[in-house]
Amino acid sequence: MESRDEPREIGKIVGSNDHSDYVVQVHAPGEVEITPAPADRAFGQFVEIAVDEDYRLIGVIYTTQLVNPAYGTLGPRLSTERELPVFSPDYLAETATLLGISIVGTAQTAGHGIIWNQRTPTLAGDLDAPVRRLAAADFLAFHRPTGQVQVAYFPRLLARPFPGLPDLLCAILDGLIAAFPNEAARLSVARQNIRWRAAIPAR
Amino acid sequence: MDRSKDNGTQSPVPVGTAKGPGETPQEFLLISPDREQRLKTGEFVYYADPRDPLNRPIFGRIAERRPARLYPDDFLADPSVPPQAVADLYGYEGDAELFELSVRVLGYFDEQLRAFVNPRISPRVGWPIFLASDAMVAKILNKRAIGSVGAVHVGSLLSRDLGAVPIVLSGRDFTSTHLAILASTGAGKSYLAAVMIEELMKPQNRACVLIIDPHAEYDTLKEMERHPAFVASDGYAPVVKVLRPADVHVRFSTLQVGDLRYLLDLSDRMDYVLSEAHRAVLSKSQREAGVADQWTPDDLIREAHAFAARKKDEDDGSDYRSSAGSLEWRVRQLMNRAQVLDDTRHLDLRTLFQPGQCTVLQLDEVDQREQQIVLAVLLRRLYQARQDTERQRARRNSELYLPYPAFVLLEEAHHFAPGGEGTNRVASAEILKTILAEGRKFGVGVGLISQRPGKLDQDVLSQCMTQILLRIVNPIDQSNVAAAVEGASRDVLDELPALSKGQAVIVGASVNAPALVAVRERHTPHGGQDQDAPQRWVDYNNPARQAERERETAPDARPALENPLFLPERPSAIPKKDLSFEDFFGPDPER
Repeated sequence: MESRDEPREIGKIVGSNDHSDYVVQVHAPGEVEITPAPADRAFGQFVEIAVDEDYRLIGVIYTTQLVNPAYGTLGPRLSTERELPVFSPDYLAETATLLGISIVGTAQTAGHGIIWNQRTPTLAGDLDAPVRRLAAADFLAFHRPTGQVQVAYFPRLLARPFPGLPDLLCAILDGLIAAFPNEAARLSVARQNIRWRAAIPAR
Repeated sequence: MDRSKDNGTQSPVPVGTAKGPGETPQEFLLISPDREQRLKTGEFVYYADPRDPLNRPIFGRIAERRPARLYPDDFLADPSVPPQAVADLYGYEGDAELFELSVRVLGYFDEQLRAFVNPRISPRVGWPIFLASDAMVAKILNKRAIGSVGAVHVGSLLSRDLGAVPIVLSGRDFTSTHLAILASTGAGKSYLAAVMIEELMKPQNRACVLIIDPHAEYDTLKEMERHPAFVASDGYAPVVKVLRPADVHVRFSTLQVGDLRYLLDLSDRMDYVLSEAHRAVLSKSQREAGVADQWTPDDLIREAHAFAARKKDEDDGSDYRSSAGSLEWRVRQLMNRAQVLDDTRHLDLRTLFQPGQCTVLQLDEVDQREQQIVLAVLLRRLYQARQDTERQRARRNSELYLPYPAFVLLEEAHHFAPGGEGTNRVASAEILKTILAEGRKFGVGVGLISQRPGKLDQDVLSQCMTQILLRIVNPIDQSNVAAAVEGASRDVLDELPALSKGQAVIVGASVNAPALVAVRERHTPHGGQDQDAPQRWVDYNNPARQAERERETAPDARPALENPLFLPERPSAIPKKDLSFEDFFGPDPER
């Protein structure tokens, strides 16, 4: 078994847009022992979702959405903001931080090792399944599924572009370049191409 | 494993898949990853039609290679990072590049016809396409096996390993339906021509060859006489006769009126006198000697004066005496200045043409007009002899009895049959055209070599049924070749500028399909090499050589007779440019 630092739970699955695009609600204060810090759910953070004992989905946070039902409700309140937890505790829970997570691969325990795979997973996560921050060592292991650095999920991400995608991909590549200096040359070619396409769109 | 080397015992592996019909009915397209980069243009592939009960392979020649799928340009951003490494990064495994190849169908090879028969329908989508093995290609391309009668082994197929597929021309075809070797300077024309002569002189062929050699570069063929490759167990060894300009004689009486006009540059009145005088000497010779060419320049001059005197006596108002005088002056000047013209001597056909003999006629110091006359007279006599012999008009002891075919190789052919308006003014053009059109019936074959196909007469060129093209860069020459060479398709012509020295495209009657050839090495040394001027300059300034020169030129070392003031006049070299009348004869008294 590969050594991993303790993964911190940052939220739970509350919905999905498709087979590999999940909506995760970040744990609010009081829901778990250690409330996730903003850095734990940062843009580009890799996460894991356990499907069963041996099978984990590997995803990456690509967006954050703040949900506040009180937004726009400007009428008078019977209680002050400070008294709210006492008189209507359920109201507080209606605000939430949601994360968009794109599933980029899987980790499957096989014997004493883990098979990392960057293809679309066959299994899907369940509602309420806990979402944990992926340990740094697993991030690196995931990106070397065959011993060489690979980002085979990039084309899938690129197929559904959004404004922040180039930054997301470059952030991933920067992390890999720092971790694997021997592979820096070809990673830089990929990074350069992504930057070029983002900065100089085809006309 | 190199499948091109399979001998048919292992089932071949397809190299591509048929995609569909091409742009023309004779073409189809195939798609291939071509990992080993063997599907070069000019390469031979085949497929089999499952409906054919004989399962005959249908051959085609790759005409064009286009990329069908390539790495994105982005992947090539860093020269130190191969695009495959970037593709690996994205998890891509497998063939990256795919090529679409356009194949010109030759057809299946009919053993009886010894020719390709086109099935006239392209393969169905998905049919596997195979690379033809070396043995297959050799069998379908060559009309002859190495060493058989008529075999002219010129080299090997360029797209295969050197020597893997020998290319053997059919000597029977190009020695009867003529040959053209066309290329830019320095592409290896004379080298290839010498290779072909070597093959013709090998024991299996024992040919009768004459080489017109204006640059004196074929004399090294003399070494064939001693080289073991040419000696047969029955005692045969080729004879190579090298005739220097001093040995070349054209008897004045073998010149026709047209030749004389060409050499003499006459006014209309002189032309008239010449025609009449010529007719008179011919009939007189025929009457007195039984043949028409037993006369001398003096006889012609006498007849010219006699004609002029007769006209004067007839008193019809015309006086041709001054024209006869001018004609005499021109004829005498011609006899004084011309190197090859002779009152009585001339080259005996039977001395020049013998089976197993290669005669090299070196004309390097002969004026171009005289070269044309030499060729015109020789070819006329050769053609006449072959006609008379074939039609059984020539007696065995006659000079015009030549009971075997002959092949004449002509260097710098554009001088002897230039294109455009000049063609009719050159003495040798007419007989060359006649032989190219009719020579095959009488066994007179001509091989034309030219570095300026654009300057060669197009009718002459198009009569050569075997064409060997080496590197041609000049676009005008390329388009002339395209117009004149029937068997050369666009894809073959596209190869011409890209050929290296010693590589040739062979099309036409002597091969079954166009072939790109690496010319084999000569057995004899090559004589047509360029001068290494810088090296010779360095050698000249070498201190030892300088000292040697000083010793040779020291006044006291020279015999008195060799004092430069009294040096005997050296024979002046004849200028190579086209001579004007005045250059040739001095000031004209009539002008």
